[in-house]
Amino acid sequence: MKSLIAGLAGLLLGGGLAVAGLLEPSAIQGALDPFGAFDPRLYIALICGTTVYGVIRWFARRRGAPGFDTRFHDPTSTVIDRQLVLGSLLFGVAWGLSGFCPGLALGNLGAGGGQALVFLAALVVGMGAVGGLDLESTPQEGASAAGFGLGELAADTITLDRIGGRNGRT
Amino acid sequence: MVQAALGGVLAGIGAAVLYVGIGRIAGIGGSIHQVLFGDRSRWRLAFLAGILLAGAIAGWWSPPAHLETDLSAGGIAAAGLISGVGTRLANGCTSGHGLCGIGRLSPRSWVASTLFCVAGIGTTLAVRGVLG
Repeated sequence: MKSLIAGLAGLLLGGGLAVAGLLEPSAIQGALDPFGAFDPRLYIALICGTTVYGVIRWFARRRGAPGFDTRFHDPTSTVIDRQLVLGSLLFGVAWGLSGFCPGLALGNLGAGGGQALVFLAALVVGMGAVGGLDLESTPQEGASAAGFGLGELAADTITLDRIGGRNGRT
Repeated sequence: MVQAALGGVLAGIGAAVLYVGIGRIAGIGGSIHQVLFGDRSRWRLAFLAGILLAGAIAGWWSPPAHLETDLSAGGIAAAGLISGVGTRLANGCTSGHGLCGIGRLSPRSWVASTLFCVAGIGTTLAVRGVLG
């Protein structure tokens, strides 16, 4: 049942991206180009989506628990640390460079985009590199470029994970 | 513009279904990570499959005009790598921090989403400066 609900959620979320025109990386490149060929669609979709989500979430929380679980799994951390700042900046750089983010890439791949496959493969390597450092092991082969210089951050990750729990930090 | 608003509402409902149904945040980057390196939960796999399927339906129903960019394969790979490192360090991407985090008024997500845009706009301007 959980998988069924999650599949439906993914279908709606992905469908929303498609309807909004946000499966095209050019839409993101336009959104991130306020002094050029500015494309406001990303922001319009975000404002509408976050509002709808926020309102439904508020009503759901008043009910006390989700339909098919015992509790809501909200991230608990409220710490704004340099890991969050650096990670967000890196994410934004990649977003600006390519117009791709994980969700857009996944929907884009479904629609037949070839670049999305390259992006997602590299994304997984990047994630694995951070995960590898997390466990104080050497970065996996092929991930050394991304792993270089992140040792110091890995130490932060470990400390914070012990304090906050691994899944508590979105 | 109307389509962007409708699409946004639909995406918001999708994320809300996940929250109301099973109490989970609709983070796509985090789900990719968890499916491959973490809890390997089935609901996350189904969630990702749903997005992929939505893309496939969209591609069949009304194919997007520009699925790709001018960037070389090397450029896309570099962007993917940076995005993967970034989304792990920040513990969220445009769906987890952007859609869900902004919606639930999480200060971390407001900071993250603002920085996504600041760095994205800065990168766009810098690339244009370099390439003319």
